[in-house]
Amino acid sequence: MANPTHNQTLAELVHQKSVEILQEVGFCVPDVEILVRLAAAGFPVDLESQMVRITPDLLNTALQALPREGKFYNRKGEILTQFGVDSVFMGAGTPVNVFDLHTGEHRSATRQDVRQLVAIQQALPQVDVVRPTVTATDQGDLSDLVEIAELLRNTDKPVVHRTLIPEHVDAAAEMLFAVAGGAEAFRARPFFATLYCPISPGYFTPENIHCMLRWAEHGVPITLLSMAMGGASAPATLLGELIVINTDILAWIVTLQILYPGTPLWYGSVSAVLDMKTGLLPLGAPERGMINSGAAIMGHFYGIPSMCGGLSSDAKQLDAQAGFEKVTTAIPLMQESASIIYGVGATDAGSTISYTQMVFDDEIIAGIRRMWQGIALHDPAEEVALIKANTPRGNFMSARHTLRHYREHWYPQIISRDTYSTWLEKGETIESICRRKAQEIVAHHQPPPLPSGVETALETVMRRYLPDFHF
Amino acid sequence: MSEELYKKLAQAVIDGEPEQAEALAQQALEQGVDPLACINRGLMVGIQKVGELFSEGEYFLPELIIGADAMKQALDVLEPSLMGGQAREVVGRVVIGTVKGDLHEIGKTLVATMLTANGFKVTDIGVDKSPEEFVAAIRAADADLVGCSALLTTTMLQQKKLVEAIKEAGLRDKVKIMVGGAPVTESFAKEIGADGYAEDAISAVDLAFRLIDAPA
Repeated sequence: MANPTHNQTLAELVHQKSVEILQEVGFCVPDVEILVRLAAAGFPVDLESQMVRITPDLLNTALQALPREGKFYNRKGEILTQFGVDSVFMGAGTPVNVFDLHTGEHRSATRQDVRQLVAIQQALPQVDVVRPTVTATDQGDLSDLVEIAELLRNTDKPVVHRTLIPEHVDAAAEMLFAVAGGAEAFRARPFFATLYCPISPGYFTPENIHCMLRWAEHGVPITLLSMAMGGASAPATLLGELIVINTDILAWIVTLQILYPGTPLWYGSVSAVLDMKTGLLPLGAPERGMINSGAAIMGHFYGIPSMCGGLSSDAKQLDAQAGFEKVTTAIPLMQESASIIYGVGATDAGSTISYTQMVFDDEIIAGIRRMWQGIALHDPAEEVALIKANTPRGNFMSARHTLRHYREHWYPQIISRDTYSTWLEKGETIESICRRKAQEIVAHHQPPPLPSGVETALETVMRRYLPDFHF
Repeated sequence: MSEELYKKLAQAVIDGEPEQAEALAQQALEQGVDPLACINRGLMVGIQKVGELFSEGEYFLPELIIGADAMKQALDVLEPSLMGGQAREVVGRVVIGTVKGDLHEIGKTLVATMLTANGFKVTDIGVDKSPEEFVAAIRAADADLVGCSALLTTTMLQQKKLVEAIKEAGLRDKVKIMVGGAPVTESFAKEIGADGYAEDAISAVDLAFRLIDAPA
């Protein structure tokens, strides 16, 4: 379980060191127009090197302006009660590859995959927040808007996505506000958050910066999502890597709060450490959960929601490796109460989304959540009376008490608890069960109804870009 | 005395001591030791040993990278002093860079280092490079191979533009094109008309040897 004293010491140390780096070295803003804006707002700016530093005054003002009450809603306006209390689970995203729903073939993902993967996340009870999970590679430069439209159409759970270019932000916001019934209604009960990644250390692309600034103008929650690679784009120790992660995020907490005070910001990390044998970035490594639990700790320190990469795997099929890695990378995040655990459906080091893995992830999450309840303390008077009455050699199976409580135990939907001969007779594997379930969900999916006229409104926005667009 | 110096140069590469390697190279020039012999009997012996240790699983990438860095530091001192007609033997000439719009450097640099360590002469043109910049570098380096990297799904299409630009420049028969980066796949490489795709730095080296038809 989390150790509050250790976490507080760690967070204070990491915060102090980030402040030191941001005051002495700063961060790069590769855009003259924004550099000028930041200089006018009081940031020490070097136009030639494009480096921006922070001051203690700016830091204090920003941390005071940062909204601490992060809430997340579904499309119907109902609050996601677990959010910020226990971890909620979210779809992964957004690679260009998928293992085909029917054949398992490794291929490029399409808009149809987005629709189907959203439908599955909508149906799976343990998935709380939905992502497109793949890139619709058949939609070219408009994949981002198509994916947002499909999200809004096919699930009423909270959703998370981003735009590729700043010019798409207004159209995306227009669709969100159409669903919410206006910009004010959206901001009162946000059901969408966006995310942008720095290039560690100390750099955001101009496109991503402009996207963030436009979302901030609309008052939409933004996740500052670090993707540091320990040993490559950050130091090899977890502490050193966490300082890079925090420095990149704190730089933009300060910048966005100074330019747009009160913008809801979330603390994100989908970081990992590099495998020095191959130069690849393994996401199923124990260090994956470890480093991103640091983001959960820092999120608590700043009092904002955290989005942390875990429930990850490097496996290429639904096998023992997948099971081991998915669980070991989720546990440290549960332990530190990450607000969002980011990873449902991902496999192959996050490079491919798997329909069958997505279905099995639901099973894993259910099991972990049960385990996390621990042994609850309550008055055991009834149990003690029952034990006395049944001692010695009694049977508790017919007791009313048993009848009332046994369903608190976990019952799997997919995993086999059969005897050997029954298992043999059924002839099913985890893979075949998951594939069947995924196919059934897709076949029976009915998009949850949108308010009257909203579907047409979404299509109207999309037709400005794709004249033939329809759901 | 020269033999001693070759050994020390090799050891500086094996131990990953760039400053030591550079100082030894300076010392060699001051003492009038043949620079080409320093390269072939010192640095190359060292980097081959580093390669062996890497293949055996004893060394990981950080040792390999710092070893290659040591070799490069010494080469920078020695190469300008090679006599007319003398040239370091290279397996092939490679131009490498990250495509236009993409600022990711680490993967590309790793491939460049691995190729250097395997005897290629590598011109690393850096990140965010247009097809025109690649073409100019291919001409300047008289390259046999070009490697281009893209980490983003939004920038991988630049690789296709590079293939087209190389064709238009009339260089397509002269250079082999390798593509790489997280979203890139074998089928994408084929689709855009590249000669090969490698999914990591180690297979990139195998690919490079295969493409220029040299024994690895």
